[in-house]
Amino acid sequence: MKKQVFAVSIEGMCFHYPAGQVFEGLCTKLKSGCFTSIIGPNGAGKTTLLRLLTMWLKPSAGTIMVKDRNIQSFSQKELGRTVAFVKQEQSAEINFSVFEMVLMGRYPHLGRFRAVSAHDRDIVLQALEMTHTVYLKDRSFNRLSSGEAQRVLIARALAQQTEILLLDEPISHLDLKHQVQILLLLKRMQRERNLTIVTVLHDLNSAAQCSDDIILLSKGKIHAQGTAGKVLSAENIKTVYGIEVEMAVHPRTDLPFILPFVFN
Amino acid sequence: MKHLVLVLMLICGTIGCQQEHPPSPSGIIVTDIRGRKVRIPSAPQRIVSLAPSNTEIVFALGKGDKLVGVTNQCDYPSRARLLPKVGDFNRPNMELILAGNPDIILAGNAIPDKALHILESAGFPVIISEALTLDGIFTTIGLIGKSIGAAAPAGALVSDMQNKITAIHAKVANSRRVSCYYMISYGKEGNWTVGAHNFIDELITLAGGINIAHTMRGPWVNMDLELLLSHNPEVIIMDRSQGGLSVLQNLPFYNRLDAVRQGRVYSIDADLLSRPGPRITEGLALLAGILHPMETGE
Amino acid sequence: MKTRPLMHMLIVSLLLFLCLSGIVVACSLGKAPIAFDDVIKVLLKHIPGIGGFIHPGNYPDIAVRGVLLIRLPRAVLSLLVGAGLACAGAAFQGLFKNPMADPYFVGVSAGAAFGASIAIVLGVSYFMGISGTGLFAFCFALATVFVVYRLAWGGGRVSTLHLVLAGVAVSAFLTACVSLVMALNRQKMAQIISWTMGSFQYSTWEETGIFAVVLLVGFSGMFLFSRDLNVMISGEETAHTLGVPVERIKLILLVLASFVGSMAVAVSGIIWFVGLIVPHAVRLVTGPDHKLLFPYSALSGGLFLLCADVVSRLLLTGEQLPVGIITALCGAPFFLYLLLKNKQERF
Repeated sequence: MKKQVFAVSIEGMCFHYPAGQVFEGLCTKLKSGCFTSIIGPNGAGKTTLLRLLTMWLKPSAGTIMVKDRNIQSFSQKELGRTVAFVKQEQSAEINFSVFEMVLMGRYPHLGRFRAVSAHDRDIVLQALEMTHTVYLKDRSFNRLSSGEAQRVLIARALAQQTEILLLDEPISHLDLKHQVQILLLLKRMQRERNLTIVTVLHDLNSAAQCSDDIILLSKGKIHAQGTAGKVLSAENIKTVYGIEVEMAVHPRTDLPFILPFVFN
Repeated sequence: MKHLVLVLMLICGTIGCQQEHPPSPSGIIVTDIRGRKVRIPSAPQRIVSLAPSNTEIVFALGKGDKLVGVTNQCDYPSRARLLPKVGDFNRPNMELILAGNPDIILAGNAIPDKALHILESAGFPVIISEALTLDGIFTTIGLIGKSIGAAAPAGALVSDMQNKITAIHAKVANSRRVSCYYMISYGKEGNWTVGAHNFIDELITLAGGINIAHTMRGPWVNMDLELLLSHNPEVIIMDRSQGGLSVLQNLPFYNRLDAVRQGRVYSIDADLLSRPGPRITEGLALLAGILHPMETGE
Repeated sequence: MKTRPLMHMLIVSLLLFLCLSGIVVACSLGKAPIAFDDVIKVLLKHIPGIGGFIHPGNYPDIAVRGVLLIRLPRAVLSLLVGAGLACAGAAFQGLFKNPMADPYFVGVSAGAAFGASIAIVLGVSYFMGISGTGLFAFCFALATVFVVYRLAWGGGRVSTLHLVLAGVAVSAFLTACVSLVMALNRQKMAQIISWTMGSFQYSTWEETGIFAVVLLVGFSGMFLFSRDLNVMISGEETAHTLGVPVERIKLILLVLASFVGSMAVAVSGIIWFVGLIVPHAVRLVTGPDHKLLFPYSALSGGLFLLCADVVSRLLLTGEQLPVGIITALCGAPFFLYLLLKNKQERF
């Protein structure tokens, strides 16, 4: 099976909400097996971009290719077997057990009527193991902490057994320990399963530490795309975010480290 | 589980198809006031009445002892109050009617269609007999008489009533017609009165009055207050449960009416006028007495 | 919560048995003097197969008329309507993720009341055992749901928030219209109000048959989408990314549940609380899995309304209470009890 170089490629894509144009002629490519971060200020279109990759939104022009196929040629279930999407942990009162929640990740494979098999259960347990949530499997979802819940949602996405994993701000609401925990988990998934990970992140430093590729979005346009060194420069940040920063280098990783300063 | 539901449905369907009817009685066929042809036993022994007027007629025809069920609203004669009740005239209770095991049911206009349907499919003969016009009252009495084996008393009752009416009318025929308003309700409930094609309107005319709503399309009319004020009737008739003169005297707009200012508001037992049965002759006499006290010697 | 299929099969069978015996009990209760064994004989006679063993004439006429034509259609219809309302309520609660959702949520009750008021004023009579009022109520109820759906539709999808808002607005408007109709036709006002209060007093076999078919279709449809509804609990976007055809499911469930709700209103008026409370009470026992929720709600709802109807006709002598009063009086405190019990268990 020939492995494609680019998991996703977008060509000349246009999209607009009723309120106004978001993307106009956007072009970009996301490499397979890479960890790509999408950063940018609020309203730049980061979440919108992810939503276009799940077909929750449809572009008005241009093409989106997923695994060298036009995304529109996918049936919804097929897409669910190819692209998994993890939103920020949801606050709704969900009474299902963790196991049942992660089992829902098998829907794209099972459909409406097929019975759950031992194979499916194994996949769910695997996903729980990888996210270190096996001990939670019988607990009610609404009794989890934020960090635990986020890991369970990632486990669900893993149970989908997709090649591509999209995440929308998976750590913005977590404390430092859990932030690092999730990022390590994602890096491990990328390594062990050769996942293509595309995640929207607010924290530029996390993006710098984890990403193979960074897309800096501003007002619906790609201001810069490339390695952390190339994208995360003081000028780029000043242009896009409008704030002054000092650039440093992380002592252990040699990757760029952003030091914003607040005038008193 | 789906199989169980299917079996349940099958049971429903089968039961629905197998309605057992009691053996059809030999009897007579009558046509009721709605044109329905109903087969009834020739001499019913157990009568259920679903309208107060029907109850009064049955008693007047001397068959009160055959009544096994009346409505909560049947209060005349006083013996009727002791009879077993089968619900309201507009919401009869199927179970209680069943308990009475009648061989004929005399219903009124207010019987709900579905109740009628159920009683019919249960095999009860139901006759709808409630009149809206004066002639209709005589027809109804005749119909009920024929149905309960009292045709002769019915004929006699009708003649008697017609004689009484003629006599009362004769006393006031040459008098000036007094403008009159029959007040069913007032105020927030609306000014409901009787219009044309209503026996109460006919009674008012026969009593030497003129119903101010006589030209309005009836049988019931919701009169505009301004129209009432402009007609300004000389006499107002209302049921004694509605309050009476003292209430109207304290109501704005109503206290402008001549009838109120001159104290010509009469609280009567409106059942005498409003029940299409044998007591309309009493009602007529009462009304004539109110409208023309001199001529009638009241 | 582990699903233990055998245990659930047993409980469902038990509930089903309770429903059937409830019907038998309902047929034997009433003011007309019908002996219990006559009731049994009449019922058995009409079950194909067993019926042959019972000789007609073994039981009095009054038993036949009373059981077959007055008590039985009423008992069966109240059971079926209770089942339908509970399922429709569960479907709406799952769709809207709103615990206050009930089968009348998107304008069914207001539309039905408006249709009924028009029919009563026009004096539409019944045909073939279906009251004209019921027919008008049904059609107007469905039309209202259609209007609400169209109002809420935008941008290729229907947001549940917009459905709720449109439903509230349209319902308020139609309720005002009903008041207007009543004000213009005061002599029919009592009749209109009495219709809306909900009653099984004059249930016919024709209505029961029609509703049974509607319920079968509605329940089967809703049950089929159990898995989808389960997944949708995580949100529409998430469900979409998991492959659930969200818009299609919303439309289908809306249609199915509204159909059942509208037909329920057409045959028995507006009965509150069954569709709202039964799914919640059931959920406290079964959890959120719709594969369990729908069957349990149907059976519990049916049993509940059957009992409520029996109480409503026996509580006062000579008078029948609107069954909605009984459902409210019984339902609310029972639900509070379950809720408190559940709260204690959680802490």
